[in-house]
Amino acid sequence: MSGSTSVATPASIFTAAFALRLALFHLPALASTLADQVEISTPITSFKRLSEGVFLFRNGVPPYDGGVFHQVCAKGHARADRAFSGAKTDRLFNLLLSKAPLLLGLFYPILSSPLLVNLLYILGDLAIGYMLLQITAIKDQDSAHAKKIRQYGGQLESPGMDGVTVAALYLFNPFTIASCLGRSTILYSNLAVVAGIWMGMKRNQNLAMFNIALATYLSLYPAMLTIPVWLMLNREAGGYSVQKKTAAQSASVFLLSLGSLFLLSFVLVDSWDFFVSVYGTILTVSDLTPNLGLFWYFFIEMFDQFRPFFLVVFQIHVFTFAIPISIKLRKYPLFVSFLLCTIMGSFKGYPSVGDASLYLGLLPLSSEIFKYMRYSFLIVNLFLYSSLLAPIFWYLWVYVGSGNANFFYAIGLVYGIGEIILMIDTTFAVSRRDFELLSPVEEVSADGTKPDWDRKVIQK
Amino acid sequence: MGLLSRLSKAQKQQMFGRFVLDWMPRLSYVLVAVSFVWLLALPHQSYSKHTYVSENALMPGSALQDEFSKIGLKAATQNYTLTTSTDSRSGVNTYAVFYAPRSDGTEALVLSAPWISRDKITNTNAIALILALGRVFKRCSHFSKDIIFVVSDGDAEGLQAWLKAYHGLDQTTSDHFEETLTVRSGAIQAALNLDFAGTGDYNAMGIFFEGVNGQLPNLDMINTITRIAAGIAPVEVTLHDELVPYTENMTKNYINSLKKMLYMMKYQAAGTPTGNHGLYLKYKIDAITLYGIDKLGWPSQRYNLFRLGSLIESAFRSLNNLLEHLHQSFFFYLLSGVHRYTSIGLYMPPVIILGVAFILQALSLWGLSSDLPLELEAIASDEKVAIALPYSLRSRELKLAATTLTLAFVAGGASFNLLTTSFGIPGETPLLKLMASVGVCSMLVLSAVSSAHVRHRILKSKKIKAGANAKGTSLTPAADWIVLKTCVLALSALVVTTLSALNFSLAVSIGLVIVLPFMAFRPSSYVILSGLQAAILVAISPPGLMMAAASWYSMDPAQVLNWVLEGYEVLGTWLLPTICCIYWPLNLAAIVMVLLPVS
Repeated sequence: MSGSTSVATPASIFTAAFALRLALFHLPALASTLADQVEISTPITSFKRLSEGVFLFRNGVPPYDGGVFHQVCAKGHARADRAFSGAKTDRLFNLLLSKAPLLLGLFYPILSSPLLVNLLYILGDLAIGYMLLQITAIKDQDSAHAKKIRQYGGQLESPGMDGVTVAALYLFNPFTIASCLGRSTILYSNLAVVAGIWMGMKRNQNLAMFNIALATYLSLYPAMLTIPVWLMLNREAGGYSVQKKTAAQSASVFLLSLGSLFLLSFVLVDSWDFFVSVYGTILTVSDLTPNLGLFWYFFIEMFDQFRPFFLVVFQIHVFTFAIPISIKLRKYPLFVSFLLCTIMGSFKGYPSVGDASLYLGLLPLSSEIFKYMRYSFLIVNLFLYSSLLAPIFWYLWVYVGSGNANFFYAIGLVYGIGEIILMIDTTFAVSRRDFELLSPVEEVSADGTKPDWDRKVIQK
Repeated sequence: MGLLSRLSKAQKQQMFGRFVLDWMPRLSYVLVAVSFVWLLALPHQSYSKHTYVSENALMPGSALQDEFSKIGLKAATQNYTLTTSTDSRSGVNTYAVFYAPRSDGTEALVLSAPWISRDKITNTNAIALILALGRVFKRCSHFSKDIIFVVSDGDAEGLQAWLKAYHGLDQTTSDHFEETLTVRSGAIQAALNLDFAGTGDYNAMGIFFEGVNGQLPNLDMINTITRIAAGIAPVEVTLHDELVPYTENMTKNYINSLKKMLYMMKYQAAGTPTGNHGLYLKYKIDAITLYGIDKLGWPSQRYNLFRLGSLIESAFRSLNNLLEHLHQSFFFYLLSGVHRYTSIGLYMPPVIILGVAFILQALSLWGLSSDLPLELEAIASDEKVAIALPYSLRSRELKLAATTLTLAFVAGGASFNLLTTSFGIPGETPLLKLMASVGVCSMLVLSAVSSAHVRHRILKSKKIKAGANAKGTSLTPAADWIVLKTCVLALSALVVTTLSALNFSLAVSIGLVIVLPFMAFRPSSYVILSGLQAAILVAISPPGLMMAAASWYSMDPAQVLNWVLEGYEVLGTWLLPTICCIYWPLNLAAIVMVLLPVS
C-alpha cells in the first residue's frame, strides 16, 4: 500500500461490507424484490431456477431433463424446500459432499438454510474484495520497478489507488450489493475470474488456469480470459521459446481442468444433458426473458430462417475482440482482462448488473489511467440514468401496462451505450498514457516554456 | 475553409473556454425560460387536439330497456380491517355479481359506489342507481361480460380491501385483514365508480380520472362517456367538479384551460386518487369516477336518475363490446377540458429542456473545476497558446461532495423510516417525528459545513506557510462547493427526467421549485447573502413546503402531514418516499453547498 492517505483499514472496510449485507438481507422484502428484477436475475443466473434444479435433483428427477432450468416457476420453491428440508440422505448426497464442482452440488446441502446461503453469498463478495486488495499489492510491487512518468508539473506520476480503496469500490458498488442481495449466481463466476487473475498476477500457472477453467465452466465466456492471464503469467518472462512453452502448458492445464470439471459434473448428475442445457442456452439464446442485454429484443423480432446466421454473428462478435485487444495492449494484462470482462458484460446473451459489478471492480486496478479519461461525467450519468430508468420502464410495461417493450429495450440500449463509451474512453486513456510513457515531457528550458510538439499530435 | 480555420489556435481555445464557462450557464437560463413558456403554452387551443375515440370495438349502445324485475343476483359481504401508524379502520363491503348469459366467466366489468360521497354525505342516488341497474342488467341477454356491483365502505380502504381480495392478495397480518371473497367472476376489464350524493337532480356531471401515483386510465374511457353524454343521454360533462361558463373570449378560454390543467396536475402530483376509480388503476383496470354536480343557478338542463341510468347502461354496453383491454388510445396525456388533450410528445419536451438546463450548468461547473480557467488566464495574460494537457493538472476533490450526498441520502431515508414506524411511545405524533428528522438533518448540515470550514482554514494556513518557497502557477483544486454543486445539479436533472416518466406532474412541480435556486445559488463572501440563500432553500425544503401548504389551505401543519402519511400507508402513494428519500437529500446538499467556504 503505497502512500495511502486513507484512514480506513482493510478490516474496517470488510466488516462494514459484511454488516451492511447482513443487515440488508434482513429486510426480506428488499432481497426478494431484487431477486425478481430482470436486471439482476437472468435465466442463467437466477437463484430461483437454481433452487428449482436442486429441488428436482434432491427428489431424484434428472434436473437437466426437459429444460428444467428454463422453466420459471412463479413461486413456491421456498415453501417446497422447507417441506423437503428434512428429506432423507440418498446416494447422491455422499458424492456431493466430497467432490462437488457444480453450483447444484454447492447448494445441495445448504439450500434449506437461508442463513447459510446468504452467508455464502456475502463471503463470496468479501473474497472478491480481498483478492482485489491482493492484486493491487502485486501490481504496486510491479510498478515500483517500472519506469516513472514525469508529469507536466515536473513531479512524478502519483501512484494509483491503494488496495483498500479498490476493495471498497467493489464492495460498496450498488451493483455489487444489488446482485449479492438478489442472490445472482453470477457471483461465483466472478469469483473464479478474479481468483484466476489473482493467481495469474502471482504467477501460479496451474491455479490461474484452473480458476479460468472454472469460470468458463460456470458461464462459458470467460474462456477468452485465458489470454490476458497467460500474459500475466509471462510478464517480464524471457525469450520466445519460454513463452511458447508456457503457452502450451497453460493451454493443457486449462483444457485438462475443464475436462475434469465436465467429467465431475457427469459423475454428479449421471448424464451429459447439462451440456446442452447450460451451454446450449448460453449460445443459442433460447430463453428470451427480457434483460438488460441487446439480444432478446432482436431475436424476438427475428424470422426463424435468419436466426442461426445472426446467432453466429452475435456470438462471434463477443469473442472477436479477445485476440486483437490482447496483442495491442499486451503490456497491460490487467487492463485487457477488464476490457474483456466489459465486452462480455455488454455483448453476451444474458448480461446482468452482476457483470457490471465485475468489470467496475476490475477498473480501479488500472486507476493510473483515470485522469486521461475524457467522458467520465457522461459515463457516470449514463449508468445512473439507465439503472434508474430500467426498473421504472419495466414497471410501466409489466405492471401498469401504459408502457411497452420498446421502453425497456431503449434503456437497455442506453446502458449498452454507457458500457461502450466506457470501453472506448478507457482504451483511449491507456493508449494516451502509453504515449506519455514513450515520449516523456522534455526538460523545462531556461525561459520556462515547454515544447508542445507532443500534444499537437494527439490533440489535433 | 470557414471562419473557424482563420482563427488562431489561441482564439479557438478561448472561444471554447468562454462558451463552457460563460455561455453555457446563460444558455441554461434561456432553456429554463423556454421550458416555462412551453409549459404555460400547453393549455392553449393550438397545442391540444380534439379527443377522438380510438378503439373501434367501442360503439355506444342504444336506449335503456326499462323493464324491472326481481334482481336475484349473487351477493355477499366482505369485512376488512386496516391499521396505520396513527389509527385503525374497519368496515364491510357489499357486492353482487351478475353472471352474463353469453359469458364464459373470464371477463367482468365493475360498477361501484362508495357509501359516503365526496361531499361527505350519503351517496344515496348512486346506490339507488346501482340497485336499479342491477335489475335492468339481469333482464338483458346481450351482455358477454359479467357485471359486478360493489358498494364499498370507508374512504378508499374499503374498495382497496375488496380489490386486494378479488385479485387473491388477501392476507391477514398484524396491520391489515381482508376477508376472502365468496363470490367471484373473471378478470376485470373496466370499471365505473359513481358518486351522486343526495336524492335530488343534478346540473352537470364531473369526471375524475387521476389515480394512485398519477396513473391515468386510457383516454378512450373518458372519450366514451363524453360521447354518450353528448348524444344518447344529454348531460353536461366537465373535468373534476369545476364548472366553466362557455365563452368566446380567447384569453378567458385560455385561463379556463390553464386552470383545468393545473387542477389535473395538482391531483396527479399529489398521487392521491381523486376518487375510488384510482384504486382500480393499480390493477391494470381502466376506471373513472362520475360525479354529480348540483350548482344552483347553472344554466344547463338538469338531469335526473333516469337519464343517468340510460347513460351508464349505454356506457356498459360499449364496454361490453370490448374485445381486449383498452389499449388503442393514450395512457399519457394532459387534459385541459373534456374534449381537449395534449399528448406526451408535446408535454415532455419542457421537462427534458429543464433537465438539459441542469446538465448544462453542471457541465459548465465541471469545466470550471478543470484546467480550463487556468488556460484562459494564460491566454489572456500573454496571448500565447495555452498548452492543452491530456489531463487536468488540478485534481477534483470529490471527498466532501461524496460524503455530504451519502449522508444526506441516509438522513432522508432515516426520516422516512422514522415517520412511517410506530414506536409505541405514548404521545408520539407524526409532527414530533418530523421535528426529530428536522433535528437530524440540521445536525448533518451543521457538521458538514463546520468541518468544511475548519478544513478550509487549515489548508489556507498550510498554503501560506508553503507559499514562501512555492513558485509558478498555483494548482489548488477547485473549491468544494463547485464539485458539490455539480453533483447536486446532475442529480436534480436525473431526478426530474426519470420521475417524469412515472408522474409527469410531480416531476414538473419539483423541477419548477428547484430549478432557479439550485442553478443560481452559490456561496457568497457576504455572510448575509449566503444566509438568505440558505433561508430560501429551507423555505422550499419539505417542512417548509408543508408549512406553506398548511397556510395556503388554512389547515394545521399536522393535518397536512397526516394526509401525506395516510396516502402512503393506506393507498401506497409515493409522495412521501419521493419527498423524503429524493427531494429532501438534494435540498440538504444544496443548503450545505451555499454555506461552504467561497474558495
